[in-house]
Amino acid sequence: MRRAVDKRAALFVVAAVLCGLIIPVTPAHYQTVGEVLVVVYLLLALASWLDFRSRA
Amino acid sequence: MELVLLAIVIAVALGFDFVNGFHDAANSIATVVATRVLTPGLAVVWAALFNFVAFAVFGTKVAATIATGVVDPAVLTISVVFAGLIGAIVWNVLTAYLGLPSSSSHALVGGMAGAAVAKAGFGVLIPSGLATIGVFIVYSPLIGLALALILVVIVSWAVHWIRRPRGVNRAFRGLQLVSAAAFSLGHGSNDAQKTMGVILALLIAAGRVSEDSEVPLWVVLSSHAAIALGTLFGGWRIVRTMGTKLTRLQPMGGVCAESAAASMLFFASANGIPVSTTHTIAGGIVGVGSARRLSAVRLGVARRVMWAWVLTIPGSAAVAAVVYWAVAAVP
Repeated sequence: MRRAVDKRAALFVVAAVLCGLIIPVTPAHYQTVGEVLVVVYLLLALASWLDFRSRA
Repeated sequence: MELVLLAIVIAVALGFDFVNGFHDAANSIATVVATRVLTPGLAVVWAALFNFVAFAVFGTKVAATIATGVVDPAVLTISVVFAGLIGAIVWNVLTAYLGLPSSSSHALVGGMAGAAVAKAGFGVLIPSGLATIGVFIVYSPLIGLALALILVVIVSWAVHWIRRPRGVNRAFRGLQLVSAAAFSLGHGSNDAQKTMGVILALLIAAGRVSEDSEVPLWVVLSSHAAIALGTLFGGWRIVRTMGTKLTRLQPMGGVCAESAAASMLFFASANGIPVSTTHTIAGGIVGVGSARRLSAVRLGVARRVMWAWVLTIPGSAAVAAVVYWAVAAVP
């Protein structure tokens, strides 16, 4: 039976949340790194979910 | 007497660098060995060569971070640096024995911090330096993962129309030599600089150089030579974990994982951030595996690896603190 949840997308969302959480403790000149990672991981999660849906 | 002590601790620092090569540099060649592009013997020679030549490519910003950006340089003495090094070495040997891909870099940072705190309390820690190193414990594998995943998707799209998969495979086997060289270059620059930083800290503590002076050339060359020699002796237990237990790799995946990790290391070295080569390549390998499907990544092993990451700084700090108190107790 096919899984109901895309675990890969969930992992990417967790990664995005983790990056978001540590942005406030990141030194100012590296905060952009965290912000870019949040966006990238959310996009990856979306792409993974669309891939998952297309195979369902 | 102080000169003799200084020479002994510099020898220990180079010994740490050797162990670093033994422990961490094996990761530089894990994917090349796992995909059978090179035999283990040739792979270590290849990696050692690029570990050594890295001295001619990158500056010494990471060394400056280690020497003056983790703990207040005023608290550094020969015994503090010695205790920090012993803490890091003991931790590395322990994790190597257990086959865990820990991080020599964070073991060193933890060791230096633990010994300094044992001497003068938590006030000697430099919060901004530790924050940068701390957040990049999280960022570096995640950057490696995302870059590798994006790369593998782009490359897969670029080559999917080719009807001769064997030809593609052969091309990527050749490219993997380049990506492994790039990763070894990044590893040599970032990790050898950590030892340079320790030796620079020692020289500052002994009053041989000033706080803002450049790293002497003999320190640069000896650090790169030590890490290259360590690589030659290799840590095969860890190669197995990184190269085959996390996920099975094909040459294309190996190229993407190493290129992503090398890019991250170049960024870190250029910005003076000490990061773990182990964290970075592990992120790259997981990124390649997750491009297929998440079940291609053996999360049980990945979880053990993450525990080792979490425990490295407190573990090495605790060992270093004990060593410092033992050294300080000697009359």
